[in-house]
Amino acid sequence: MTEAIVPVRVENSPKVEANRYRPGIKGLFERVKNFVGITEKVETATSEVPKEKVEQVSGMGFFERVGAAIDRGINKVKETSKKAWNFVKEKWNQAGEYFKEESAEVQERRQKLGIVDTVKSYVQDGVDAVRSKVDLVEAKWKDAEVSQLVGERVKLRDSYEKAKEMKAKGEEVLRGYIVSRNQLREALRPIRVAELAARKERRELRAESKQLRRKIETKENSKALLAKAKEKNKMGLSNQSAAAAI
Amino acid sequence: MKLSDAREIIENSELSEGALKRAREILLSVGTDDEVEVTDEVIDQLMAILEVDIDTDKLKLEACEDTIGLLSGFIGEVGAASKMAGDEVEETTKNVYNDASKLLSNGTNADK
Repeated sequence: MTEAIVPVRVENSPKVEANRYRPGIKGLFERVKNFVGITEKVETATSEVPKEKVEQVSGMGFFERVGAAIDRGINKVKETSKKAWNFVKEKWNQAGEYFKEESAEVQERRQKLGIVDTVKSYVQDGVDAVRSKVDLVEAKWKDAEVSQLVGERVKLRDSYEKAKEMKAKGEEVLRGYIVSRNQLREALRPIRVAELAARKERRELRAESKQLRRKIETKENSKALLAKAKEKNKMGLSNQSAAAAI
Repeated sequence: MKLSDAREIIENSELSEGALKRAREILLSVGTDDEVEVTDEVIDQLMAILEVDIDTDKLKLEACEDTIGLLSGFIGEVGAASKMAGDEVEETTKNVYNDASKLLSNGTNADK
């Protein structure tokens, strides 16, 4: 009977250690997969122990305890993610005003120099491109919020409650009823999608920043070359004046 | 500076479309003789175009970097919350494992 749990070492399992710091929700899925597996082994190992003894030691029951922890975990991820996204939106809206004013100032300077941009505005176009990336993540996030409110959360809770009822009646809980890795995946998928979208847009923005830095450097070099030429012109003129004076 | 040199600098400056068009117009107004010297006034105009294009790019860069920072914050928070959730599940699993070990060892002792 002890066979099934003796080989399980939660703290030292290399697989668990390897997954501990994997970032984002993906890491959470991997970890939970291991823990659900461990709980299953515990459940199997204790299946021959009288039910009263199990309840005495484990309170709610082994599976339910891990299920409840997963449930609480999901809530934490959802609440924190929601707060984090609201912060992004708030800051972006504040920044939006700043960029609007700055864009108008640069655009005016361009017009004064006789620059006619083919796009509606070279400046605004660039800032709008960044905004569209935030909007894209926002759309994914809204999907996530809707799903949280009406979809997976309800399904998860129903399944969990049903599993508890079955347990209370002493019935065998069918696999798939209990809070499982797949249910967790479903419940967190919309946030995962928003997280992936944010990662993708961030990657693109980093590439765009790199390109902009290169462009700025090229233009600065050109400006330095022109300034040098101007300096040479000046020196040439002063030499001519000196020669004329002699 | 000769007109040909000024043209080469401008063509290789990665200017925006509108700025490049304007710079070409200015150079064209100097003439078509590549050997002709470009005046300070023309150089100033070209430098002003480069400067405003640099400021435009800098503003875009600022928008990009601000947004990267915000998105990183979001990704980081989701990651941190996921880690916390994972820790909680891990802790519970450890407790379950310990309780089960206790139960099994009690059972074994009782059997003895």
